Amino acid sequence: MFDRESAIKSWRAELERGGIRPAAVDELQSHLEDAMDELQTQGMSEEEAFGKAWRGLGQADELGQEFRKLRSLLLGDYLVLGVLGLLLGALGVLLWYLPTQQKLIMIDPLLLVHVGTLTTAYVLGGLFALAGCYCVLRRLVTRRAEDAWFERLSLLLRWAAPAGLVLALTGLVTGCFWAHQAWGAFWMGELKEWGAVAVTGWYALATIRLLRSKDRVYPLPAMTVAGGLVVLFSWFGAGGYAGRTSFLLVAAILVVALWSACRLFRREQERTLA
Amino acid sequence: MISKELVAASSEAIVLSILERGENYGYAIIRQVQESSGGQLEWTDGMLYPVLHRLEKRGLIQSRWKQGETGRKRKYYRLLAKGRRALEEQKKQWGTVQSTLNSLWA
Repeated sequence: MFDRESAIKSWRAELERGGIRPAAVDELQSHLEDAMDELQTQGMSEEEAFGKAWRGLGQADELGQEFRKLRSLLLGDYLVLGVLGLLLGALGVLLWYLPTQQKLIMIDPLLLVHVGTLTTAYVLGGLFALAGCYCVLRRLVTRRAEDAWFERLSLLLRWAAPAGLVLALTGLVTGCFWAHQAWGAFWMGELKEWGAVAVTGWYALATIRLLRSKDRVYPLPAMTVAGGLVVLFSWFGAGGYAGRTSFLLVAAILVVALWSACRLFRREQERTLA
Repeated sequence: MISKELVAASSEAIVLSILERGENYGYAIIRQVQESSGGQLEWTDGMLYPVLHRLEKRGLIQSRWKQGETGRKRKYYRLLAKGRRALEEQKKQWGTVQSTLNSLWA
């Protein structure tokens, strides 16, 4: 008796052994199953359809060879890796060098990581907000339905949003531990702390949004501008300049997150009912 | 039957042209190629995907996973502005090749 599930499982394993990444194998599997369905409607048995669809897709080693050719990095990837390398290098030098300095002997490595990561997350958010503003202005001036800048921004944000989330989260967690060492409590409820929560929350929302709907290019500039506002108000709010904006931001982000969760739940419900 | 080399050379232009008509997924693209060429252009189905991934990496197309009516998830591709420009360029180049050959064979 032909077992479709285990046949596909072993076919997947062969492709992965051939050097094809699981994400690409998922796509090939969707193709294989479409082909099987079509062949079965033509009167083939499930086993025959599986064999024919597999042959149609090609051998694992040949496909693997083609996919491996794609792995050569593009210039943009080198740039991103270069910047990340520089950041990590700078952080390493700081951690190694600063504690040996007499004047700066009091600086805690934990504090360095906290300040370094969180500042980078703030700067990243600010830069993207500027890019977003530029995109919105460009759109208003050129009135073009499609714009390569929007697309470029969306591709960059796919890297930057999760990276920003990791940075902000690291900054937040190390900050808590440092506060525990220095002040005896993990959380003091300061505006500065709530500002960091707001920035982390925004990065988390951006990451989830991007993971869920990669195709949505056009709302991105608006999203980055909103992120910039979060960064801006968190920064000034922390200094007490703009009052208690950080609390408001965290509340706003929680409301947006709750609203998104409700929409998602309703959509899933509708799908189940359909 | 068309030679492998010619199939490989024309693959990007063909894929971009199909996506110019609207968002589509791998299996349907292959079927459309077979239909449009009357079965003359034969691709190994799997070989389409490295082409699609390369085009996406170059920022010419963009993909997203979407659930179809049958409940099966498929990866849909759509043409981006950069891809549209690349396609215009390809059309010019293939047009030049075609008119050159036409004039030589006339």
